[in-house]
Amino acid sequence: MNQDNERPDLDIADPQVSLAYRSMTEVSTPAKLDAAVLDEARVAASRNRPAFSIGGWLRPAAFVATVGLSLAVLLEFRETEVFDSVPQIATEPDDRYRPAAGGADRAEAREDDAAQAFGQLPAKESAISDPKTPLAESAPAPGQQDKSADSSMLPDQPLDQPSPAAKRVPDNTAYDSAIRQTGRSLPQTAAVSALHADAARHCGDEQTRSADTWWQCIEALREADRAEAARQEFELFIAAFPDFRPAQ
Amino acid sequence: MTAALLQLLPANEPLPRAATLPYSGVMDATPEDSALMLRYKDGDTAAFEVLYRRHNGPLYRYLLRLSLNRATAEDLFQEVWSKIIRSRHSYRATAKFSTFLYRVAHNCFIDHVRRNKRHASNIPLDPDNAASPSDEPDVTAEKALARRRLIAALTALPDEQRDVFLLHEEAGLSLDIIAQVTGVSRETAKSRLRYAVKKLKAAIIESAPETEAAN
Repeated sequence: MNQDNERPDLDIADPQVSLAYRSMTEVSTPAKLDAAVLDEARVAASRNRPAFSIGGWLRPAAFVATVGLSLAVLLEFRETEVFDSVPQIATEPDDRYRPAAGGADRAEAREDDAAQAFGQLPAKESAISDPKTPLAESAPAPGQQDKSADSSMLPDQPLDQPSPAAKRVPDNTAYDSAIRQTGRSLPQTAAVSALHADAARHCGDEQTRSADTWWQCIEALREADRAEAARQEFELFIAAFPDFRPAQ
Repeated sequence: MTAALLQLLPANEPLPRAATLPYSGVMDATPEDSALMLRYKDGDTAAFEVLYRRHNGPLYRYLLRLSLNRATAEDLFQEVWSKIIRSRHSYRATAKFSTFLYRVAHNCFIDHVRRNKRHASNIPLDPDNAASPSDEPDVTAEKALARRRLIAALTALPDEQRDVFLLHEEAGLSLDIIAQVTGVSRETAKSRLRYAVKKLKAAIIESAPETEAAN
C-alpha cells in the first residue's frame, strides 16, 4: 500500500474485513470533478508563472554569495601579513657584550706608544752603521712608518737579510722595528716571551735587572749581528717591562 | 463464514485494487509523489496530473465514505485539491505527500462538520451503491445484502472510528501516520481502529447466516 505499512498491524487489522471492504463497489471520481481540478491546477500554474521569478534565483544567488564571501575572506588572509605584529628579531649586536668603552683602544694606544717610543730611541751611530744590521735594514722610512701596533700587517722580513738602506734608518725606529720583526703585537710578543722563559739567556742577570741595562744588552746583541738572540731577549724584555719607554 | 466472504467477492474477477491491499507492497513511491509535487511547484502541470490520477480515487472514496454524502464528498474533494494547489509554493518534502494530502482532507472534513452539524441527516444508506452489470441477479442480491450490511456497519461507526478505518484501508496509512493526521496519540488511533474492525467483522459474521439461509 505504501511505505507506512512496514509493520502491518496484524493484531488489529482483519483480513476478512479488508477483503470485505475491498469488495465494495469500486467508486471512481466523476469526470467533471477531474476536469475541474485539473483545470484549476493549470490555471494556477499559468497565472503564477512570472517571466522573471525572484524566488527562483534566491538559492543560486545565496550560493554565489557564499562562495564569493569565502574567497574574499581567504584572499584577505593571504594578503595580510600575519606576522606584521611580531617584533623583529634583533640583528644588531647586543651592546651588553661590547667591550668597555676605550678598553681595546687603551691597549692599542699602549702598543702604539711603545712602538713609537721604541722608534724614538736615540740610536747609536756605531751600532747601526753596519749596513747589514737586520733591524735597521727592515726599518721603514720615517714617513712610511706604520703607527699601528699590529705588526702582522707589515712584511715579515727575515732578520738575517741585509737591507741596503740600513745606514739611513734612524735609531728611533729600532724599537719599533724590533716589534715588527717579532711578527706580533706587543701582547702577543709578551705571550711568546713566556715560552722562551726557560731558553738560554743572552743577557746576564745584572743586565736584566733594569730596563735600561737590559735594553742596552739587546742593542749590543743587535750590533753584534746576533739577531735571533736579540729577538729572544727583546721578547722577554717586553714581558718584563711592557711600559718601557726608551729614553730619547 | 468462508462462504459468506466468497459471496462478497465477484466471481471470475481479479481482486479489485490488488495493489491497495493492506499487506501488499508499496503502491506509490513516496519520493515520486514529492518529486511530482515539486515539479508542479515549478510549473509542470503534467506532473500534477500524474499525481492527481494516482490519488484521486482513494481520496474520493475516503471522503465519500467518511462524509456518507456524495455532494459533500465532491465539495470536500475539490476543496482539498484546491488547497493542495494553492499551497504548492510553500510545499516542502519534509513528509510523505499522502500524509500531507490526507491531513488536509481530514481537516476539511472536520471543518465541514463544524459548519454543518446536521450532516448526519443527509446520510444515504448506500452512497456508492452501483451494481456491476456482469453480476448475476442472484449474486447481485447476495452481494447487495452483504454490502448493505457492511455499509450499514461502517455508517454506524462513530466518525472518529470510521475515519481511522478509512485512512487505514483506503489510504493505506500506518497507525503512526494516522495519529499524525487525526491529531491523536498512536494508542488512541489504535483503539479506534480496533473497535471499528471489531464492529465491521461482527457485521460480516452476522450477514453470513442470513446468506446461507437465503441459499
